[in-house]
Amino acid sequence: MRGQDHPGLKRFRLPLAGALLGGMLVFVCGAIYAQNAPQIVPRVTGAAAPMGDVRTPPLARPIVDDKRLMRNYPEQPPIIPHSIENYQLTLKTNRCLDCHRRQYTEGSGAPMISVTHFMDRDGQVLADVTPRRYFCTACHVQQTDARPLVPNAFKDMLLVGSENK
Amino acid sequence: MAEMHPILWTRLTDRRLSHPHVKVAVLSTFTHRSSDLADIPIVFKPGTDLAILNYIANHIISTGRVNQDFVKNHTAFVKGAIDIGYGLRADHPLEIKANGAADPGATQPIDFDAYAAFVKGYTLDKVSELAGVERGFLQELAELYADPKRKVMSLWTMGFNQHVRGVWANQLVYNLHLLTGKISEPGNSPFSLTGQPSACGTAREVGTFAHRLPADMTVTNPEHRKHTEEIWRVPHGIIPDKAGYHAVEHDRMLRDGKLNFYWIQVNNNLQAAPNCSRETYPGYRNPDNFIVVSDAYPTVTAMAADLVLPAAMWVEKEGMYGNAERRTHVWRQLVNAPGEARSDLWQIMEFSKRFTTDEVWPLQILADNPNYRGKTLFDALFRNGKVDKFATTEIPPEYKNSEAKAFGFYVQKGLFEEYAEFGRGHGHDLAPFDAYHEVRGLRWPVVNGKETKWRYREGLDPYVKPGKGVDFYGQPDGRARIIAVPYEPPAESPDKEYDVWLVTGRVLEHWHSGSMTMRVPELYKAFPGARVFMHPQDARSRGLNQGAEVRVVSRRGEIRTRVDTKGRNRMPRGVVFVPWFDASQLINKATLDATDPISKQADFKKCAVKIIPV
Repeated sequence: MRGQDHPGLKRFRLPLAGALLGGMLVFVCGAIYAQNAPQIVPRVTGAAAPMGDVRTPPLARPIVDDKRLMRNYPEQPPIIPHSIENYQLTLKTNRCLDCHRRQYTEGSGAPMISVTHFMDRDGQVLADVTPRRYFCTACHVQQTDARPLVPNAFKDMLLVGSENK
Repeated sequence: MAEMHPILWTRLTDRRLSHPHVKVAVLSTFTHRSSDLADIPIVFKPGTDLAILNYIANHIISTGRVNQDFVKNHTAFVKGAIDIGYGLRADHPLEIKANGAADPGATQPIDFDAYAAFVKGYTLDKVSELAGVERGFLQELAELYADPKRKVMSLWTMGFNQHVRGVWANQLVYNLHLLTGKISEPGNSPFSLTGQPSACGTAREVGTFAHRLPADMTVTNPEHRKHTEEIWRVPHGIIPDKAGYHAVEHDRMLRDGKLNFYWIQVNNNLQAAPNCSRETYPGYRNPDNFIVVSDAYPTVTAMAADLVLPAAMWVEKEGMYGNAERRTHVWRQLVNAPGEARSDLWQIMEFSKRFTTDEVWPLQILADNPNYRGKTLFDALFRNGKVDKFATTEIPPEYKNSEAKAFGFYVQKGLFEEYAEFGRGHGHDLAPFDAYHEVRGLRWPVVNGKETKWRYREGLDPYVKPGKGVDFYGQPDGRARIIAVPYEPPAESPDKEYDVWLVTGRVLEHWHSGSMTMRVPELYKAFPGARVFMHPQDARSRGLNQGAEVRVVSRRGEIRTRVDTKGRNRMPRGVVFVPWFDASQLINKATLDATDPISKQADFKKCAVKIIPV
């Protein structure tokens, strides 16, 4: 709840104002209040004055370090660790496949597209990429250097399994 | 569609790339990832889709490709009301000027010749000029519909519905399929891509609108009210006979102080509402109003509320939903919600215990029905011998069910079976509740245990009697309507000062207002904040480079954001796109609260802004 301009909330705030009388008490109340009040993270909660003028941080930079990262779960589409600026991905051209197609990987050193990407909807394996997997960026995304907004409690399946043992 | 319905898009991609004769036409107000698959890429001026659709109808008629048998046997022609206004406040100059605003959905019968004469004005030259689209592309597009040997599916997303003439746009597409008989069979169909998952099955079908009851019934129809009161086992006269405020009206009435209590459940209304700094936020902060938000996240809406109630999510409760293809799904509760979070259903049921019929029902109705006196609303609505009919022991012991535990009966099954009564035998048959726990969804009507894949065609839909061929049984005469309605301009267009169009929407990485997806590290890092996509020359003429900070300013409000001239959306000159998922860039401060006067849905795709360097 955003309390800064709501007369209706005044009565809830009065006990806090009263607490100003005792220094120690203020500290305790303040600690509890801070713990229970949701933290303002403008990109998910809005700014402290949500309808006000909010400055925009510079655009985050794409990560292009070519470092392969571990997937968080087996079916996660691997992220793209290199620049894809100006890559054409159209009916006629697919710049991604110029390196990731099976027959080009030896020259490019790029990982081959997954075996699932050769299968049609009935599980039939084709010689080349299956048409339904043609648009790579529908699942594979680049990452930027933006720092996550909130802590994340995601647990690897391996750890969940070991806890149950 | 490529970004908003990526799984369905893979099916289209599969079809196009596997079968060289297949053609894809993509119509939009800017070039985006769907355009990458297009054989016929069309970028039209905002709002001129209405004119393009009427041109295609004209092309079908003038080249003699109307499916005469189909039109004669299965359709009827009507003319719609025109000059119907823009759903703004009644004192807005545009509303005062509108002659047809009193009854925007009115129609009157006409014949084929009158319809043909009406669309004749939508010539190739005129529409090409109005829409800013090359003649050749328009002709190629029209031929796809006109060619009797070609099957056509039309799919559309929110640009058609969030449109001041959205009902017309939908009807005009249906016109094309009806004129050519390309409907209600495999490969031939208009298909509105809503319902992902809630819009279709969890709002429309069920009747959770200010004017509606379940199974397409309305509160203004006395027969419908009576039937509903019987199914719900409440006395006659309890359901009010007038429609409540629609969603955009809620905000206006909160601001005006005419609506004083508002309970929002798991919806980020403040971020989603058009013209939110003028029409939404003041109402939430109006000291006369009490705003309650049930949510799992501190959204911008929750942060503006007087009271926040923690809500259970998805697998923390048992529930159902319906998809655009009429598929009804059910899922089990797999985990308990953390802390004191409770489901929306639990919250409503528990709330109903706080009121008695004596307090809230009219005295006359209680005098006529004394057995309802002194009951809580919980007793009257849920302990009614129907909703509480199924025992908690029907739930398999390996699954949790917090509502069953709290109230002592299998709430979800009782509510579903009561609701299913509305549609069974009326073309909207649902299977028995337990069946949905056994299968991966079923498409209604489910008759004799069999789902329906295509409606209105003999052999595919059990409600079409043998010998009929096609029967549009939603209308008493079994005929679908082909409607004559014109192109009418958007509520606001760019002028000298506010010189570019603003279109809002989504990006692949973020679902709606981003309250969940902005918390997923990979998704956040892939698209960390909103930006304004604009044409490089539009940027250059304002002295702006990629990444420059700008203000997007309308007559209503403004945001600060960053320029993107080389991202995935390639804008034509004079049009900018800003996604709305970012709570620190509330682009709905700039949008206009104009709605379709028939559907009451807001137009988030067309208003005028200027771009100013910071």
